[in-house]
Amino acid sequence: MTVPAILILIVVSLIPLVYVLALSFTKSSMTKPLQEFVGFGNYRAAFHDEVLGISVRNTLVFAITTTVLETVLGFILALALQKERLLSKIFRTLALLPLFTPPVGVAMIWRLIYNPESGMINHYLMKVGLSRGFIAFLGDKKLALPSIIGADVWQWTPFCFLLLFAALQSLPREPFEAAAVDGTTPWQVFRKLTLPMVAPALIVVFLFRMIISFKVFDLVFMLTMGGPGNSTQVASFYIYRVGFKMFNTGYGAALSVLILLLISLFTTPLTIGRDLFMKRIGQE
Amino acid sequence: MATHEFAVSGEPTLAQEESPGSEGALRLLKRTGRIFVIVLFLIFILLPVAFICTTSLKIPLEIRISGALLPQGGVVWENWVKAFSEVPVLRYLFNSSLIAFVSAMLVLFIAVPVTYSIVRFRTGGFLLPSWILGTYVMPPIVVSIPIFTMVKMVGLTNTLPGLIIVHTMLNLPIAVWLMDSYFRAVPKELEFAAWTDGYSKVRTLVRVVVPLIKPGVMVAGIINLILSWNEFLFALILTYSAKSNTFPIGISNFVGEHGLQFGQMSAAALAGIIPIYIMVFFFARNLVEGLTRGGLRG
Amino acid sequence: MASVALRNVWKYYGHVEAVIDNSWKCEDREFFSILGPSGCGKSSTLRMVAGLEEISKGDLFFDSRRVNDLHPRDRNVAMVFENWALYPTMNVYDNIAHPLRVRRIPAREIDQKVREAAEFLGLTEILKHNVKRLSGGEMQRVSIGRAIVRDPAVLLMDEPISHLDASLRSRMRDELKTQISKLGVTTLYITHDQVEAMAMADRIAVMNEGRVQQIGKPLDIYSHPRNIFVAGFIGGRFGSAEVPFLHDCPGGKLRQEYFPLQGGQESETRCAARGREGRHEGRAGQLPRRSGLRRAAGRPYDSVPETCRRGNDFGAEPRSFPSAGRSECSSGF
Repeated sequence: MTVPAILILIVVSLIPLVYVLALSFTKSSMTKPLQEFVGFGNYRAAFHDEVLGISVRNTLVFAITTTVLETVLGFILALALQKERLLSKIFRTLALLPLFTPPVGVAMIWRLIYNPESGMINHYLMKVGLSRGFIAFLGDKKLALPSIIGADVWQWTPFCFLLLFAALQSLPREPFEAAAVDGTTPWQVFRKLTLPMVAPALIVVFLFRMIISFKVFDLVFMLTMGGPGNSTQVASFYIYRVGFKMFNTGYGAALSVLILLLISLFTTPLTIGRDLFMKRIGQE
Repeated sequence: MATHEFAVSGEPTLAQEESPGSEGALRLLKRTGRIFVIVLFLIFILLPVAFICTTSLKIPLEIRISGALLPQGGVVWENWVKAFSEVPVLRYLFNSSLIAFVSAMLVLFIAVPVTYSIVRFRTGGFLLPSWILGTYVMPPIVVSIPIFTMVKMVGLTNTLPGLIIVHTMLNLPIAVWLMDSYFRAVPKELEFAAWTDGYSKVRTLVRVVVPLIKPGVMVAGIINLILSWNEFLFALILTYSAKSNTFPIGISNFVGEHGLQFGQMSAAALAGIIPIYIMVFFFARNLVEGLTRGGLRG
Repeated sequence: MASVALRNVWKYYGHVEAVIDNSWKCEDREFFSILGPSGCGKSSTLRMVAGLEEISKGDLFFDSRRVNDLHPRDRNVAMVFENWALYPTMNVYDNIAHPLRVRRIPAREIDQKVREAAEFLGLTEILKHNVKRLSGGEMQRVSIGRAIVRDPAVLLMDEPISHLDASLRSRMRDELKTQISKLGVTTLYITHDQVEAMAMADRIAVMNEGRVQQIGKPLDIYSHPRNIFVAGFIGGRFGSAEVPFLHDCPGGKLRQEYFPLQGGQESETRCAARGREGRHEGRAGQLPRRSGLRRAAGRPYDSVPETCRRGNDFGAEPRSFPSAGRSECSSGF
């Protein structure tokens, strides 16, 4: 009964992929799809595409930086809140807010905050005397990507926190009591007991977050549109520009395929590594 | 019996906070440090939200020149009024609500039997979980072109139903992933009992299983609602007029069409954010549970 | 080595009184068992001795030193937990070595001690195994190894074998007793199984609902239970036609009498309280009956033959307590 339904679902999901693949071998535009067969022409062009390289690099930088920052910060928070019952209840509710804020909202909020003349950061930096001029966070080539990273950290650290907090809470209490009786110092407990036991969760959260961060689009669109220059050009955004702004759908399709391959190339070894690690700590 | 909360640092938590001497002092110091970190982050989380709220209430002139947190020139409502009158914010909100609600319902309608099949009858073997994994690895942009083409073919661009269908398809895997652990928690014996009593599989599902996984269904529904509400890319691609623009798109238009009216922008943005926040507060516990159950399984 | 003494110790969890005014002393090198049903407060008591729970009221002494406020790690106690509480990410060797490593003892010394302990407990083969792969019995031995490897002053054991299969349990019981006797360490042993307590302990403290009911050597408690609870808890085999009856009289005295019993028969008892008139309802219970024990009314028990003093003479697993009969009490004794 549901089997045919599921089959339909899968087929329907695969059609777009097949289409993209087919498209990538053609020279097309939005209105006139599947025009001219050019073989690997699009792909060859991609290799010479400077902007593509930049966008891939930016995406990697973004993904790795945000994931590391958010996992670490989330972990620190989760550790700190382990002993605070009341605070952790409050925190867990409030942590949901950035997470579920519509990306539009996130973008608006941070636009306001980063604004050179009337933004909150500039205002208070000047008040405290740390800066003299108006810092254009989103308009400065060097600061734009970090600024977007900042907004992302704001939104997603709570997510890492929630998951890691739950993981820490679920650890069995008794080994820790035994450690206390055995005379283990808190730092030793952390290094030899807490960390190894929570390692699986850390890895899961890390991977999960990283995969999501490869897809970044909304923030870039609403904060910087890829600029200034190409400093915040990320893979998804570039494809969007090629396909929907320059209407070069054939090329856009090729890029899509390439990006997909790249991401798989990156995440597959990580996932396999994770599975291996899980097995290893399960056996020894 | 409540026992000592031997938190993961191996230290007693509740007791011996009051114990005298250097042990107690060190503990107090540690606690202060922890609370400091927590409060710092709390501020980090709340300050931006506070800022946009106060910005929406400042007089436009002040917004242009000052980035102070609190309104210096008085609290006004004109931003809110203008936002709603000059831009069809209400229309956007309505569109978003409708799409979110309908697609969430559709998703649940489809996902519940599908998840049940997967969990109970192992339908699709490993293909299905791979599919779910695949859809979440893939950046939406990759399928944006074909989906645009397909939707155009059936003439559903710039319509609400078009977006509804797309959202449903997009969020289906997530709903399945979320509800999975809830389904697994239902003991098989209950279903066997129902079957031997003569219930059909469908009836069993509806009458016996679903009531038991209500929290899971709720979580999936809410998250799907929020995801649809927040969704940007496909709303961007598939809609281009107020008739069917959703809230995110409408807001981003603000910048283009009306110049830098930060005050109104803030008000309009908040108009879409606050309903979500209210829902989050309401269902906070469920959401946290659903997220952690799903998230920690990887 | 040290003695452990409780003086008027109380434990509250909020309003719940888990441990009520306990006082006892376990001598140096003694095997002291705390016996009682679930929820009687024995675990809480042990955890207070370990330092894992705070002592609400009263004093805890190791030898003559008051240790209420001492952190567990400074008390030089070792604990074997009910669920063994092994470190899940480490192998057997590391688990046992852990207490020594945290004290920065040189690696060579650690290796020697760990191997000694492992050999003592028969763990040498599995030293490199991760603890997740071990069987229940092996895990218990690792847990003990971890506890004894650093020569603690006091060894605390919280129902260490209650999670093993029944057959394994009786074997472990004997092994444990042998090993601990060899070590000669002060041991506090918590259990709800009276067979264990009776077989292993030098002295037993019977607890119920937070209070100590009786303290004494196993045979003393067995033969002279102070109240109905203790008598009922220390069960045993019965089946003679003549059974001793324990009679809970008004005035608080317990009287033991011998009666022939055929299911439901009413029997008359005589009450020890002097000067009381009339009929009293007493609660009758049945004492565990031991082969070799006989008693005529009014005469004290004969001394127990030497062979019966050793461990496993206390027969089969406890039976359920027979229903109380009614008895009448007349005065003027």
